[in-house]
Amino acid sequence: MGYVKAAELDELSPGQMKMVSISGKEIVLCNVDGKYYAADNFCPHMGAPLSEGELDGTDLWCPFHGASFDVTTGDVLSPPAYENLTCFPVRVTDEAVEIEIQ
Amino acid sequence: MATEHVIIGGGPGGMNAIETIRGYDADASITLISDEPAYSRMALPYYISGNIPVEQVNTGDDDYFGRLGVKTRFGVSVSEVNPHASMLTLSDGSMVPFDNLLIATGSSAQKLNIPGADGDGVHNLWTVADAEKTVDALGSDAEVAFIGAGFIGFIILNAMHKRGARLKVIELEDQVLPRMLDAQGASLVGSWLESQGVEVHTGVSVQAIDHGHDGVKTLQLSDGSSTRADVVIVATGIRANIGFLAGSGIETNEGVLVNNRCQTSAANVYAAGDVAEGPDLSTGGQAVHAIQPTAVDHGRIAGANMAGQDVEYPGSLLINILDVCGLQCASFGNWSGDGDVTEVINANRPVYRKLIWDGSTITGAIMLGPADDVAMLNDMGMIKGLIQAKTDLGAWKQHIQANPTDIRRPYVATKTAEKMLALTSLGKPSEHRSYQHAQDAGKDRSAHRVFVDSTG
Repeated sequence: MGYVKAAELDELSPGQMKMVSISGKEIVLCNVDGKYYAADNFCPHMGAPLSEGELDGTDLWCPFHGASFDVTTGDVLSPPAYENLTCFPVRVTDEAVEIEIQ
Repeated sequence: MATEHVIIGGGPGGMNAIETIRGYDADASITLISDEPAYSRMALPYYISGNIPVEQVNTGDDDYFGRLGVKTRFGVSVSEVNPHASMLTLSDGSMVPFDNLLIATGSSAQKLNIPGADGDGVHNLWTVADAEKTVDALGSDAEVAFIGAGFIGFIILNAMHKRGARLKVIELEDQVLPRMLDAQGASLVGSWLESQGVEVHTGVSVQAIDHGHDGVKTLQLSDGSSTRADVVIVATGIRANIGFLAGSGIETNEGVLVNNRCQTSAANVYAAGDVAEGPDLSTGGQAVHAIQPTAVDHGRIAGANMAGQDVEYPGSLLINILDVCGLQCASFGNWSGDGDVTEVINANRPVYRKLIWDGSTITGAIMLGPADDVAMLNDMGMIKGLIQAKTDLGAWKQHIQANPTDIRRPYVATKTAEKMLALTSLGKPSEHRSYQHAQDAGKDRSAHRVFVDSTG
């Protein structure tokens, strides 16, 4: 499917994130100190929407049970989740922030 | 001289405090004292259900603590705390001095005081040792009886259901999940369990457990009937582990009383997690919220303050989220409130949603629905956010009353996501967590290496 627009250039400040829905797939887009990262929006533990959690530096904390993930790699950092997040490539063009969907 | 931080307990409260302290202060001395190894009790159900090996329940090994620069004292407990002398006495008689102490000793499962409760095959299933014993005892087609139909019992029940065990639940109160759901929600869960082949007995107690020669147990119930089981799981509640604080002068009630900095009545002593009785976001009072998200928050707040920051906690939100054999159940905040409520119910699916209002703010909620319903999971996250941020919905209240399943529009319009970001526990810019970032640079995880290695 290639790169799809996910946000305006000035939409997310550093430390902010949002859920984007691209062809039925829900993805969380995070701005970490000006760099963008995208991952599955659902916590692999119980399906909580991670976009409603907390972004603290590169750590993304689940709103339901406090599992945490590194948004730059998708690695699970703390239980109760035990699986990593799927990440998606992100690029910033002159016009928008885009996420690559296979 | 480096500050001496001593942490008692290696659960989520203790571990998050350790990582937070180290994130703020590379030179501080940190000692972890724990009678059990560092592991996640919340991960035990995934071991029981066969999803992960027992090693993956661990949250820290020697290598991890080595890299974090944490001294560990496993297999000993603390027998006495003296805040005035800033000194601990351990169960082996040794003394440990501290500048700052964190009590993160968690809670213990209550014992059942009936004949036969201490026999073989009757477990609390609280520790990793309990879990290993139970998994060993579970043959295929084992019959498992749960005494107590509460939140923790049901987490284990769900794991056992995945293993294909035959299950039965015996609850003293007139409904399942009495501290999580109202009668309406509990009735739907009870019917759902029966449709999944789980036997449900409510309003009865177990009087005795008879142990047969063949290992089969017979539970004698208060209504005169009896039921058989190969394994009995006792899940009748938990108590904060505060016994060792007697005589310390540290104020306790149900748990260790802490202020909004997670500090106890002794200025150099903090408490976090199941053992702490801290500010309750919904009531403004104090409460023990023995749940993982509160332990994580407490650990991070206490850790930051121990490391010399000044971080205040708005209070913990009561959050119960549970997968009951494929039915997702949740309750938040003031879920037991009545008066001004908005309800949707469809007993056939089943779906149930109840929102409790105070003016135009949602203060509590109950939600039930299929565990794979992505839209409902999103709504759960947003409703939790509306409650936690105490969003005044204004005119959107009418919209929600008329369309209780359209939460996203009011959530976005009231900028609740932004409010939630402002509420983030530490409320500090990311550069303070330099330790983790430094580790990230070398792709050498600072956090929970055992966990990551086994999954990555």
